[in-house]
Amino acid sequence: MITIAILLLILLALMGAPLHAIILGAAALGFYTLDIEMAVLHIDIYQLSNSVVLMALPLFTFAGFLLSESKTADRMLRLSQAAFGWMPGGMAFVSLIACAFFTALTGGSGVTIVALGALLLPALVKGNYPERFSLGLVTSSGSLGLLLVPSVPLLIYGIIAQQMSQQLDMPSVEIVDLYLAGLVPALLMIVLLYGYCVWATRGAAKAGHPIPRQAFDFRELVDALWEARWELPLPVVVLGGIFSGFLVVSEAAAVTALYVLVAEVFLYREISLRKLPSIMRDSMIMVGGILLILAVALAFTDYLVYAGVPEKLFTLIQTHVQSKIAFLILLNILLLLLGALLDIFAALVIMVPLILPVALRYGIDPVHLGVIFVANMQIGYITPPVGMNLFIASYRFKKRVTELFASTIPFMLVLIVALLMITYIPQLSLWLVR
Amino acid sequence: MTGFLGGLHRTLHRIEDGLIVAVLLFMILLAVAQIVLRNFFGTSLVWIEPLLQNAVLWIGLLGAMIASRKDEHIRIDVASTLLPEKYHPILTTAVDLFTAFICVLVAWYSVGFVIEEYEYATPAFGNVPSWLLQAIIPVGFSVMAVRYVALFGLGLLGKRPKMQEPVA
Amino acid sequence: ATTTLKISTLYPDGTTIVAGLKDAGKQIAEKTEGRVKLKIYPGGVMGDDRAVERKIRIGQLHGQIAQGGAFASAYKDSQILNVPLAFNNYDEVDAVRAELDPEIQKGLEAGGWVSFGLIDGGFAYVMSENPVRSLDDLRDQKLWLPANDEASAKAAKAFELSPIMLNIGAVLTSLQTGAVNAFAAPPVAALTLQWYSRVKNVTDMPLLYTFGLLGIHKKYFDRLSPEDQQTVHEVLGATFAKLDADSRQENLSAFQAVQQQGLTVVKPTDEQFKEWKKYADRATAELVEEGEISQAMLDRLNSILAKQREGQ
Ligand code: NA
Ligand code: NA
Repeated sequence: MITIAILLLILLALMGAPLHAIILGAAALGFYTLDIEMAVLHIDIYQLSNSVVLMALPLFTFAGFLLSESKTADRMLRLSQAAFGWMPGGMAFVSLIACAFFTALTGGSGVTIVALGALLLPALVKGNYPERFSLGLVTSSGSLGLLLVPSVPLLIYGIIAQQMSQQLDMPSVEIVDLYLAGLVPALLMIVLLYGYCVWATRGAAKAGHPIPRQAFDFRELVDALWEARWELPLPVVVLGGIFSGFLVVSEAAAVTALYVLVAEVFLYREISLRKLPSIMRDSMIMVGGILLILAVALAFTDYLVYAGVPEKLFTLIQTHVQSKIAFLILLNILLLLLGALLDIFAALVIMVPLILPVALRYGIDPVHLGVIFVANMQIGYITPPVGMNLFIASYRFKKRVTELFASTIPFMLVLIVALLMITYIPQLSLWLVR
Repeated sequence: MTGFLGGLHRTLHRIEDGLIVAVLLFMILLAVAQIVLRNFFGTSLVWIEPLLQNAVLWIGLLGAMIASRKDEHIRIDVASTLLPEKYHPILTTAVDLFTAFICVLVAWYSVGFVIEEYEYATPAFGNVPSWLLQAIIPVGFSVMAVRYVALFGLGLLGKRPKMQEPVA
Repeated sequence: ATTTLKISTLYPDGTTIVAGLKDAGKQIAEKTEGRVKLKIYPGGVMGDDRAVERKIRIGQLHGQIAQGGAFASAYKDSQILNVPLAFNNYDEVDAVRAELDPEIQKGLEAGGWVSFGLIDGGFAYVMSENPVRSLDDLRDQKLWLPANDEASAKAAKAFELSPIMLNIGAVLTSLQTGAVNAFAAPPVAALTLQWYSRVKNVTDMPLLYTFGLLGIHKKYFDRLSPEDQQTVHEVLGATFAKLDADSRQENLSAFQAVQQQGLTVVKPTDEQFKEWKKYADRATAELVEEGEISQAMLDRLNSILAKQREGQ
């Protein structure tokens, strides 16, 4: 009976039932087998109002929507071009940097490809980069920066970890620590990808199609800086505010939202006051979808913990896996598979509650685990069958998903190398934190 | 939809849109006010923090309600990318019924709990009663339930909007 | 039939209290021949006090170990031990508890909670960057209070303090950056949460007595047969008596440890202490006025204390 119900839920999920309905169904089924009153679903959903950092999610997302509705992407592209265009593989490096920062600021979720992709792809092609290479670069860079402050997936990992741990159960998982820990791994990814780009395009010069560089022009750099004068202080405000302790993360989000609002509406005047309510509404619909998933995930987690599933899972894994290294290998395989199937938020809310307690017992630092998780998920953005970046790029560039996937394979391999380094060298994540 | 129902429909949309924009604006303003108070006046207001935390819940459910209008929820839709278009109505019919059922289930037990909370009369903070803040949950799930029933109906008439993932 | 009593606590797995409770669970299962079991959810995995209370209401959980304040709505006078500056030392606490613990237990039971004895939580002391001797010294500090905590907000108002409310998770970083530079907490908490490392002074004045307790809701406890109830009472009674004593010892050595970690102990002058006391009495009077504590209970507290102080 229960087995049939579980199979039915899986079938409905594959048929495209909203994820919140599936997770709620699973939680309800679980509680039903334990004979618990269904009002527990309400109690768990209400726990959404119990998080101290969750407020950052709507505020950062709103700021991201404002940035992508205005001409921020053009300014950012011009600026990075002026600053880095002279380097070998300059345009590729510009793409990486611009995407990383834009993704970090807008919280990922495909906005980057929509906003920057349309600018970067023609620029790359015009710069003599092969089209297939360019497509792959833009599509896979669209999730670069997920490990950089103020990334939303890292924030969500921190929220779940905090909810699970309260204050005493394990080494603290401060959001600030997660952001610090993500810094070096994110840079590692950028450096490796850049290295690959230079290597992959080395043949072009021999073939007589050298990739032109933009000569460094101080005047142009100053102009580009001046053009971006209202947006440039933003990272300083956010990072400075958080790391000086002047602001807690949720407050930094509020300051960001207010700052971006003033900059785009009153200083750049690229968004009219009349358009503002609809941008607010649209951004909050997306946030609502994510928050709903988070809320119902609380119910599902409650069921798992209540039924003692993490303990059972741990016992099961422990009988087969002895060492930390072996566990990490297993974890990477599992997360890459899941990342290929699940949306990043879904993967986080479903997997973190299961994995975190088990990983703790293998002596893995929860902050390091967060970085591993998000790094895996970042690769998940470009792996079929569910790769948000592939879908969005396909829609944006009018290319088939299979074609896009083929173009991203080399970049994916580079990212997997980075992932392995991040996983097996915890110091990369932790040396700024512990 | 015409006449009374159409009017009701539009009014509900306007209320939802207005509320969600208002909550977001309040959130920004209150949070900034708290920062200014703490850093420049060395004090803070006790009710701001819990109010902000509950605002998250409200944004979540209001956003989810609005997203249900056109079924723009996060999903793993494998089947619709694999199956030809002509089979999609079968998928949406089953999915809509199931979603409506789940929303009714939550709404039903949620209403019961909120009534109980009203009888207990526990304040969430200050004089704000806890039931009032929680009431958005049964309201949200009821509205979502109604919308998925409507989507089911539209599906039978062949007028249902396409199943889609929300794309920013 | 077997009954499993499901109990939530914020204390993490591996602490003395959780270990003691698990051990008690084994004894109970043995003595009732498996009819009664305890299942402990440590580390706050079931949520905070309020969430747990809701889960107890629907029967998902049956009890919780929490700070005394979490049960105040069932029996207001259980807050009598939390009256500010009521005690000068642990001897006075012990004298009062010897007489009032059974009262509190009875009151809680009438309010729906079966309990098995209080666990000592230690005195909360002011710890701060700059020495705090007088109330004005404290008013000059950026004092942290927990966000969303009605009772401490009220107390702050009575003492004419303008505190900074932050969630408990943000305290350590805020102390580090100077966003707050003073707090009041039992030394054990200050040690476990590492807060002590960011301040320089501790004021040797027992600001507030704190305690925790296990409450199992009566409607679930009553499902046990009278004999099994008796067994549970015996085992948990003995367990909590021991946990209370252990906890007291931990609190005493934590106060020593805090000093050894380099915090300077400062003491208010008699004059300054009188001022503290004046405000504390005013805060207590307000509690009585608002019906948080009954006058009769307050009188009892004062008469026990008077007797104890005379005896010395
Ligand atoms: Na996504
Ligand atoms: Na994927």
